[in-house]
Amino acid sequence: MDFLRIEGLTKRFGGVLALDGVDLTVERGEIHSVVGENGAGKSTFLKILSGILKSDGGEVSFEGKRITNEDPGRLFELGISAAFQETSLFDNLSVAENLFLGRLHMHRGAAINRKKSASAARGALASLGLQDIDPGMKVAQLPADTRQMLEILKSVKPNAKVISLDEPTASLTREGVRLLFRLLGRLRESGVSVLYVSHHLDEVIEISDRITVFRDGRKVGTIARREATEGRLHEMMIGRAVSHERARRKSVERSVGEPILRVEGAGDGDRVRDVSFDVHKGEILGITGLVGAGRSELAWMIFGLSRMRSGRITYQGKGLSKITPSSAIREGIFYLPEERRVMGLFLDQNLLVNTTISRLDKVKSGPVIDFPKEKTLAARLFERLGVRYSSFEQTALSLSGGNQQKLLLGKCLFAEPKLLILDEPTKGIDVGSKEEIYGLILSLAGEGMSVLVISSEVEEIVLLSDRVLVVSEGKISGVFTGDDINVHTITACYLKTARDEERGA
Amino acid sequence: MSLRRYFRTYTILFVMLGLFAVMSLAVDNFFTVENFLTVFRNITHTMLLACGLTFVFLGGGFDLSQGATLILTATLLISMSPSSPLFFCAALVLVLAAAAAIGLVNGYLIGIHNLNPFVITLGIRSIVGGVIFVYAAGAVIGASVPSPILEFVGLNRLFGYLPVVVLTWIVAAAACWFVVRHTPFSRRIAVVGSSPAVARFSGLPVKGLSMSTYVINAFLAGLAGVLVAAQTSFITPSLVWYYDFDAITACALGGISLSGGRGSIVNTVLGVLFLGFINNSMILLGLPYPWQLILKGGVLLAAIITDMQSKRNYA
Repeated sequence: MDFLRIEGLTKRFGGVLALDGVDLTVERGEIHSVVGENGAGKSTFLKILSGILKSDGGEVSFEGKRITNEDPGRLFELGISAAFQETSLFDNLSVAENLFLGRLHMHRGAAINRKKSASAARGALASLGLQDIDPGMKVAQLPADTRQMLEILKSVKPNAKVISLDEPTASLTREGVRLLFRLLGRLRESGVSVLYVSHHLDEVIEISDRITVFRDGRKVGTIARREATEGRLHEMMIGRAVSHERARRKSVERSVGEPILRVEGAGDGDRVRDVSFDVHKGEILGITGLVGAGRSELAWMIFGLSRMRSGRITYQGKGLSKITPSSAIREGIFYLPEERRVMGLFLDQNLLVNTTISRLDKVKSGPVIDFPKEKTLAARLFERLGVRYSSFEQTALSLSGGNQQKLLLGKCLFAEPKLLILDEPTKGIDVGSKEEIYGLILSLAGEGMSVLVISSEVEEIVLLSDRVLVVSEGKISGVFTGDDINVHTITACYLKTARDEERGA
Repeated sequence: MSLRRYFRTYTILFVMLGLFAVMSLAVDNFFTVENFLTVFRNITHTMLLACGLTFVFLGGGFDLSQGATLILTATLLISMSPSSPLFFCAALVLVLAAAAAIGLVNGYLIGIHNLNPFVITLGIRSIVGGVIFVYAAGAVIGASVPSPILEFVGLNRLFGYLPVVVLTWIVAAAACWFVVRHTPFSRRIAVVGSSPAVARFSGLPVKGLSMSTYVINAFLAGLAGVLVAAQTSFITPSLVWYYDFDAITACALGGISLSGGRGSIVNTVLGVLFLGFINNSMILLGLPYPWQLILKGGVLLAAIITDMQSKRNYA
C-alpha cells in the first residue's frame, strides 16, 4: 500500500488542459519535489491535492483511503496541509493567532488562553530560528521573509502527515533557507512526507529524496536524488539540452556624454540616505544589496511614488523635484514593481486593460478607446515578449507566473520608456521565462533604452549589468565596472558592509 | 465581455420573459402598451440612480446618500415653482449644482481622505435628510405656482406615445453606456476599483478618479430629483428613505460587482427593467405593501447569492 497515491490526475481550465493524466506516489517520510516551467501544472497539482481545486479526472488515495476531491477541511483532519505562494496570513492578527487559528488554546469555557498560545507559538517559532519574534506581534509588522516562514509553520500541524509547499523559498534569505531545510529534515525523520515545489533546482537537489518533472501538464519522469543534476532537470523540463553557463554580457563603458539620469545626494528621509549616481543612454545599471537596504525606496523616489527630502535628481537635464508617477510616465520613466500581484497587475482585469492602462492616450481616437487598435498594438507587444495567452479577454490572474511577469513587462514597454526601472524582474519565475526576460532586457538596452535593474540575485546582476552599485543602509557602498563585475567581488562587498555595520552597531 | 456577464445577461432576459409569460396569463391588462409605458415611467428615477451607482460600484465605492440628494433637488425645485423658462433654467442649474456639491463632499471624504464609503454616505444621507425636514418645516411641499416646463416634462408624451421622462432616461442611460463602454475615463475608474495600489503604480490619479464617481453619481441623483419633481407636484420629506433601495437592488440584479472593477450599463438597465416589472406585477396582483418589501428584500439577496455562485463557476 502506498502512502499517498495519485493516478491519472486531470484538470481542465476552459479549453486548456492544466494537468493531463498525472501519476505520482509519495512514500512515508519522503521529501518529493515537483519541478517544471511556469504553467507546467505544479501549482494546480498542489491545489488539487490540498482540496482547493477539484480535479476533472483521476484518483487520489491516502493510506489506502480514497480522498479524491475531498474538502480542504476533511484533508486537514487527515493530516494533509499546504502552504502557498499567496500568503494566507491575517495581517491584523498576532503571530500566535495566525499559527493556531482554528485550534486556539482555550481556558476551560470559551476564553482564549493567550499565555498558553504564546508559549506554544514561541516553541514553534524557535524550530525555524525565529525565537526573537514576539508571538503577540501583528503579522502586518513583519518583513516578507519572516511572513513566508510563518506561512510554512502554519502548515506544520501536530497531526501533519503530508505537507505541500509551493515555492517556500521565494522570499527567504539564505539563512532562512538553511533553517527551513533543517526543519524539513526533522519532519522527514518523524515520518512526515513533504511535497516540495520550487524553481531553485540547486535547493531541490539538496533537499529531495525524489524529484518529479512536469512539462505542459504531463509528468515527464521521476528521478532519485543521486541521479539528478541541474542540467538533467533543465533538459527534462524544457525538453532539450540548454547551455546553462551563459556568458556575461560584454560590458560597455557608456559614461560619455550627458547622463539621462543624474542622482546627487538623494534621500527620502527614511530608508534612502545619501545616494549619488549617473545613468547613461543604453546603459544597464545593476543595483544590488541586502533586502531592506533601500533599493526599492530609491526607485520609488525616482518614479515619484515617494517624496525626495534631500539631494537632487536631474533627468534629461531637468530637475525632478515635484515628480508624480503620472508625470514620470509622461517624461519616459517607468517602474516595474517587485510584487507583481499587489503592485503590478490588476489580477481581475483582462490582458488588454493591464497592458494599456498607463498610456490610454496611445489607443484613443477622439474621446473613445479604439478597441481594434488596442488589440493590434497589444498583440504585437505580446508576440515580441512571448506571452502565452488564449484570449485578450482572459484575466491576468489566469496566466502562469512567468507569463504574468511578461505581461507586466508589456505594460512597461507599452509606455515607451526611455528609462526603465526593473525591481526584481525575474522573481519567482521559471528558468525559461527568465532567459527570455534577460534576452529582452539586453535587446532593449541595445536599442538605446537605459535600464536600472534592482535584484537580490547577484548572478542576474552580473549577467546583465554594464555597471553595478551595491547599496547598504541607504547609501552606495560599492561601484563595480568591467572585470570587477563578478559574483565573488560583489557578494564580498555587501557582506563586508553588512559586517561593518554589525560591528558599528 | 466575460463569460460570467454573458451568463448574467441571458439569465435576466430569460427570467424576465418567464415573468412576462406568467403575468400575461394571470392578469389581463399586463401585456399592454399602456402598462409597459407605466412601468417605463415609474422606473425613471431608479434608472438614473442605478446608472450613477454603476460608476461608484465600478470604482469600488458605495453610496447611500442618493435618495437624500434626490429628495433635496426635488424639494428645492418644487418649492421654487419656477414658472418662466428663464427662472426654470436658473433653478435647474442651482439644484443640480447643489446635488453635485453633495457628491463633492462625499468624494472628498472618501476619495481624498480614504474614509469608509458606507459610514460617510450614511452620515451625509442623515444630514441632507435632516436639512430637508428643516427646510420643509415637517410639512408636505407643494408648488405655489404651476411650472409649465416641469409639467411638460412630467406629463407630456412625444408623438402621442413616448413620455418625456422616459425619453430623458433613455438619453441619460445611453450617455452613461457610451462613457462606461468606450472612454478611457471609465477604464481608469474600473482599475481603481480593481486595485487602488496597482492603479497608483500605473501612474493614475487614484484619489481624483475615486472622487469623480461620487460627483457623477450625485449629479445623476440630482437629475432624478428633477424628474421626480416633474412627475409629482408635491413631495414629502420622509420619502428620503424610500428611493435608493431600488437602485442598489437593480444594480445587484444586473450583476454589477459590488466589490469594484466590473460593471456595464447594459446590465444595470436590465436590472432596473426587471425590478420595474417585478414592482408592477406585485401591484397588479394586489400584493400588500409589507409583502412587497419582503419580496424585494428576497430578490436583492437572491441576486447577490446567484452572483456569487456564477462568480465561482465562471471566474
